[in-house]
Amino acid sequence: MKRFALIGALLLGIAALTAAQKQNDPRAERIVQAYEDKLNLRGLDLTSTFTLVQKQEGQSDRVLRIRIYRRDAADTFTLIFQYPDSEKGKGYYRSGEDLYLYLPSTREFVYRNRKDDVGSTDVRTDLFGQPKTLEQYWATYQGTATVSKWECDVVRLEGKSLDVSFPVQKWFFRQSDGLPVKVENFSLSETLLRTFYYIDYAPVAGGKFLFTKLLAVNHLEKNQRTLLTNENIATAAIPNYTFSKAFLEEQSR
Amino acid sequence: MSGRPWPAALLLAFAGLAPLPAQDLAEEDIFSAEAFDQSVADSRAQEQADRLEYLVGGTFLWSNTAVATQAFDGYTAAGAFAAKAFVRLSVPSYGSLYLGYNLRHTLYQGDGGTLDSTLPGADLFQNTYDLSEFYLSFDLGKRVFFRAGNQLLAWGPAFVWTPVDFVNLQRLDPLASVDLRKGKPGLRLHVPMRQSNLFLFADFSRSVDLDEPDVDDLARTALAARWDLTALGFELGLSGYFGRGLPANFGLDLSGRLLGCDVYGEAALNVDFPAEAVDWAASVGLQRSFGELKDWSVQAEAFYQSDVRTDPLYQGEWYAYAALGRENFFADFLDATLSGLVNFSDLSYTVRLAAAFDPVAVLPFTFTLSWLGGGADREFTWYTGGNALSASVEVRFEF
Repeated sequence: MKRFALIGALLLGIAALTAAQKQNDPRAERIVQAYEDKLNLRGLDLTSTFTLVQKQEGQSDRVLRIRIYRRDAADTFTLIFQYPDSEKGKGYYRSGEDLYLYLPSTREFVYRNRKDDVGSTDVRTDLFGQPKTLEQYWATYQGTATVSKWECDVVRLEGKSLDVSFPVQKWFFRQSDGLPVKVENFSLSETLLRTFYYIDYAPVAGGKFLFTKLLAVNHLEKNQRTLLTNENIATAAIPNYTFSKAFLEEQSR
Repeated sequence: MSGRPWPAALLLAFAGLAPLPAQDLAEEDIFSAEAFDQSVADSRAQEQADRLEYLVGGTFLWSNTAVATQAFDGYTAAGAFAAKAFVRLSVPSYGSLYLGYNLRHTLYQGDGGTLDSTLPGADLFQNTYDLSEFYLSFDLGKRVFFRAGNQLLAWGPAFVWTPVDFVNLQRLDPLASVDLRKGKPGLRLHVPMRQSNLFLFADFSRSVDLDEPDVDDLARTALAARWDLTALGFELGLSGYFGRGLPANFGLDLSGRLLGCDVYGEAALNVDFPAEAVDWAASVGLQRSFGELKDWSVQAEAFYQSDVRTDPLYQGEWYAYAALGRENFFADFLDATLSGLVNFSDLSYTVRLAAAFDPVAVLPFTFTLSWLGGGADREFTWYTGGNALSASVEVRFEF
């Protein structure tokens, strides 16, 4: 009987310890919250054009152009591939937790999760929507580090569920303005998969920011990287119809 | 030449003229916005140079199917190629030209034992080619979009039964691995509006009738129209199809999200005014993905029509379909689907278990086992004369 009590107490202890570990570090939470507040565009509609240039060893560069329509207040966005011809008409539509990929060749919507590589490049769809870091990850503070010429706070994130773009991430937030400059993305077994470098940001209305240049380096494919440029940024109101499957279908016709 | 050669050298290195792996670049170089811009500009120069864009693509399918009677005293077997290939030429400022062809070729075919029917004859030395689509697309100031030529229309959200698809020559076969339908010759006009779209289609398919050369053929051009609207999270479509000597068709379709499911429905009315005859058909369905990675999915659809037709899946009055799918089943190269289709009018049915394999560096293939049941000479057992077991292997790739 005593043995069972001991095992029970041990299990309870382990459970309590695990629960304690799976909490946000308050300092990390503050840093991430401050960054989310700056990049969250609630109250604004956003339209912009992304150019993705993928460089792969031994192959000519791939250029993709994507138009994005984003409305953070409704937790939705629509992405439409505009270039090249082979991708034209494809698109993503996010509505809350639901993400659809539209394939014009078969005229079907395919349900996707956050691990989907956009256009087979080195970036995933979460990069285009509003950040929901604290909803998706546990955050812990890991001290400071220097990235290029900036002193940064380092925050480690662990996914709360499987449906996250990467299970483990390490974010480097610039202390001067709280914006991230580098993100290391790891597998569950802590293999470094990709690193994102936020090269430049642009201010949007209301003290908000958008990244305008980003470099994604793939560590599994030698010398493979994707350069993202965000241009033609506008915050004019977008018709509701844009955030629907019908809009994607219509654009592909 | 300035006296600061290092930044220029770094720029060149990053621009790819003397490429350095990104993994090896120092972080201060990576954060150079100028080098970043130069690298993007170099790659985009190629995009700007390609004034005439062209795209060649298609789908190729090699299928092998064997069907055995329930008592294993009769069988049919067939192997065939089916392909759909297309080329699209675009000049962004003018428009584009699309040409698509379907190909069918039988590799082998046979039957034996006790069967109630034989397979249709096939020529193993000839291919069958069909013009799939051939059209010219252009627009007027991005306000009105035109498409002239043979084309398929995609009206209505249903997956299996599409009552509002009354314009195309053939309904979509949801069980077919490649869509080999032929488009209709016509002129389509599309006017996008703020929250809705208007489509008009002039159907020229009856303008030539070799059996009736003296008829005023152009007057037999039929007209179709569709208006779709998005409101309150739902997409609503109203459509119609009218022509001299044809029954009038009216359609209504709706799709959206309800209680975490994608729901959709279509209803169509066919009115033959001279004969004072009215038929109607409707389908409703839902789809839902679940699981932490949304890799499980369920789908169900039901269909009713007041008048039966001869096309497959339209031979009875009442039908239902259900499917359970799992992506990345045991491994990330395997998707599995269990589905069932039943014709409630003659109580015949088919149950299919499909395993789609897509291993790295190997052609993707799908293995399907089906049970065709319900008794003799029903819709799903007509070929075999009774219950039957079917097995097929399909190799499919897209290019």
